[in-house]
Amino acid sequence: MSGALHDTLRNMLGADALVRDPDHPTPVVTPVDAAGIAAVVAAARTHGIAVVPIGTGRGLRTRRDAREALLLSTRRMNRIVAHEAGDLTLTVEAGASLRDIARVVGGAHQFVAIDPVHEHSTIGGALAAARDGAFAGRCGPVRDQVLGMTVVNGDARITKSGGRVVKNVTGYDLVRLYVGSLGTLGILTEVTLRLRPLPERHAVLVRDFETYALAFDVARRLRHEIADLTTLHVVVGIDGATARIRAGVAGFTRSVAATLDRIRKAADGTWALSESASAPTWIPPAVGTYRVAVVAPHSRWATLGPSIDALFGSFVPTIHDVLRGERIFGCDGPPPSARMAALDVLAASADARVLLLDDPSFESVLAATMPAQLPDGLDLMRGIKRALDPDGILAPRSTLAD
Amino acid sequence: MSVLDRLRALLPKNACLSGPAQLLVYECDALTHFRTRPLAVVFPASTEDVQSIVRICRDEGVPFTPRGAGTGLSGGATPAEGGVLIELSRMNRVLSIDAESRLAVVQPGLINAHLSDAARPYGLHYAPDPSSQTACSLGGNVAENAGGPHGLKYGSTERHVLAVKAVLSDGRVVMLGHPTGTSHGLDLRGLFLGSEGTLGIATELVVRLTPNPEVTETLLAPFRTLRPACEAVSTLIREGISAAAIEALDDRTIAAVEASVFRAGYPTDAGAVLLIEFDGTEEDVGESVARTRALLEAAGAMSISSTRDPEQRKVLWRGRKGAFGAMGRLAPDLYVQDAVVPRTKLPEVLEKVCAICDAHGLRLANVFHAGDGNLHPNISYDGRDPDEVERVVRAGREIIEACLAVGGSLSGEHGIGLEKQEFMPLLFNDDDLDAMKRVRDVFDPTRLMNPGKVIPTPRACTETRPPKAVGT
Ligand SMILES: Cc1cc2nc3c(=O)[nH]c(=O)nc-3n(C[C@H](O)[C@H](O)[C@H](O)COP(=O)(O)OP(=O)(O)OC[C@H]3O[C@@H](n4cnc5c(N)ncnc54)[C@H](O)[C@@H]3O)c2cc1C
Repeated sequence: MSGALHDTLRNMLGADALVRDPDHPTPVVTPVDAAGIAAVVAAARTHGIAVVPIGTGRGLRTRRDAREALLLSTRRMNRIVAHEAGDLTLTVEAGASLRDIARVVGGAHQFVAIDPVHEHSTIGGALAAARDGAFAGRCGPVRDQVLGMTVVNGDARITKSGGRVVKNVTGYDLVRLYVGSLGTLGILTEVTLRLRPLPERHAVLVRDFETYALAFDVARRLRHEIADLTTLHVVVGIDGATARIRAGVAGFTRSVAATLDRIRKAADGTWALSESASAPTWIPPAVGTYRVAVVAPHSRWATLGPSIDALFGSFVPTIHDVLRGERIFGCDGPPPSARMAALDVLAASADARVLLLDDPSFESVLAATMPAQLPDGLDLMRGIKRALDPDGILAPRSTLAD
Repeated sequence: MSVLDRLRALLPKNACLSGPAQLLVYECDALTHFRTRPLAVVFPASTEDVQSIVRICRDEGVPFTPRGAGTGLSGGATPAEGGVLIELSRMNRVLSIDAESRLAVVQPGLINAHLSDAARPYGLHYAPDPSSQTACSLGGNVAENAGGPHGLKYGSTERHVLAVKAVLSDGRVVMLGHPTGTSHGLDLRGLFLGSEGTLGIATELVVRLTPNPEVTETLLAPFRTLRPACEAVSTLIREGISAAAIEALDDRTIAAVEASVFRAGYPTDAGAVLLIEFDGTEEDVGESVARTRALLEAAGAMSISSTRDPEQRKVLWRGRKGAFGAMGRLAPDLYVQDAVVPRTKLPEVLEKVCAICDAHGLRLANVFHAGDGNLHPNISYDGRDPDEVERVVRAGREIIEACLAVGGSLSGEHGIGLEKQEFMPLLFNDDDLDAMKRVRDVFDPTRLMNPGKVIPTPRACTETRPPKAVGT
């Protein structure tokens, strides 16, 4: 950061808005409101420097674009603006942590159906990354939990889209664009979320199998026969399990008991029961340093699964979210490109999509998106980027959720 | 060659209409308030046809508007002056159903209810169920992000459309979204949903099918007046009751329904009824119904009846879904409003809405998606009476203002179209609207695609006539 920019920021926001971070050569800017963020973006534009939005800053060390950019943290924007318990909505600032949010709405027996990326996740980080978690099978993807938001675009304008009501078709739904855009179109300042009633009981049935194929077979049957599963995962090579089914059920105490019985009946065997006091969330264990996700229509998995096993080995750590039709598996290093190329070919023939989860640069994300989209989709995405961030100063290379 | 000549050369004779008498019915959608005569109406049979038509229009600088079944209630499918109307009704096939994946690939002209018919043999259905579902097209549903009574549990159209093949204003075809429902990169599909035919013309859709529930139970709860019925809805939401649908009808609507072919046996001595449905497993539905009964009783319901019998349920829903049609009997014309409020505000806002209509001496009937806070105040009037028309327009604006004042929004499902553009600045400032404009320009730099919709523009070209009755 140039001395001039440093002085400008200090004069605008006060000295305490510039925070030293041991992992970063220049101070992190921490505005307290949307106007402050807009001022920072305007100043960065004038000085021709990129702005990378971060939440708490936990992801800093792994950021490839952090060195040459101005880091803007929303950590001082963590207010709960309005919890309308009777309407099941919550408005918060972008820097609020998912943990604080869970505590506040939990008091009213409610929860937000967004899985944290890690325990310090801010809502802004979670929405920028929008990785659909264990909830998505039942409650819908991350984007469905967002009713409205305010952002600062790359031209330093503060804009709002959506609203605070649960049903809304008023103008273009730019919220859909911002969620999952990795901070490249706008810096989130405030968001209104949909809340859900906390289930009375949340229980998980667990059962081990000798092979992934056996476990998957049973899981597939459960998906077909048991209508109200909350989560359904096959886990391989994690926590000492060769192949394990985790079937989560949440709801009224009485209906959960009945569904658990149904599961036991549908797949006779030794199931272990665990109860969870919290929301039906599950942060899956890490599967490796480099994660590959394959998402495919359900009917394709019977053939796609064994083909992936043949390519990567059937014992690599794997989490298969059966309700969503997504399998994530881990590699210790970057997956060999020959195998990835083979995987792409497999995916293309199965209407599947392959994603590299640990390379969240905008361009790599776009590239991963493309096989499934006609090429022009890429033009449109780039056009939207130019429309909302004309100088390309927001998160120019990558951004990580934190 | 003129545009018309080029279109005639491209399409079979019966796929290009341009005679004044033929064009009459295409002047408007179900909001007959706004009318414009198109230059021609064309009926493409394939994506390639749509591409060619769009390219001709672009070359000639002629505006064009996609149209589904024309049941829209905000003027979205009203053609532009001298423009071409592209009607998708002949692209109405189910292309494939993958039952295990619970997916269907369909053409946009397919009628909403016909998809559930096609999915029935697999024990599946298409969840979004606008009251117009026997007439409206899936393409129109996508463009409006249509809702329906069961949107409370299952969400609006957006939740159920995974990928859209669309023709852009320069004739390119793009695939937005993915059959797995994942969006990586920017969610262009999500943006397209509800874009009212201004970003592209959908020519193929990948949609999610939903398993038919094990058990469905429908409750009918009459109340003496509308207020306690609305308070009961707020209580159900607050208490975490997850119903599939919570609909409300007031006494005027009940009277109209009971006097019509849609008769459903709603008690005519009630000030309002709630129609509440649960679906799911036996235990889940049983528990929900028991809790709901207790809450409704405490909230002052006059009685509570419930049924799982498919025929009886159908009759109960016939009244609700036929309500707009039944209101056609109350007066020559009907103005259907659509606005959303936070659900705790329902009682106070409905009182305000009634007061507004009383003050203007207007006949109001309410039938609405109460569980979502989505109001439909319907005003019956006589379009031949200019003074009454003027009062209807004023009341409409005051109703919108009352909804916005409590944190509500302009539309829950009918969209902005031509009708509500002038209200957009009440909710969005210039910067907000400009961001929308810039995004639109990425898709349609020519601004020929359904111009003058969604984002406020001077209304020069559209002839405004007094509102008329909706078509059903
Ligand atoms: C009696 C009645 C009851 C209704 N009930 C409901 C209800 O419960 N819920 C609800 O949401 N709505 C309801 N509506 C409104 C209406 O039915 C919906 O908005 C419906 O989605 C419109 O579909 P359509 O095929 O008639 O579209 P049209 O009216 O023909 O067009 C609507 C919009 O979609 C665009 N469009 C159409 N096809 C395409 C395409 N292929 N690609 C791109 N854009 C396209 C048009 O340009 C226009 O902007 C009701 C209407 C009536 C008359």
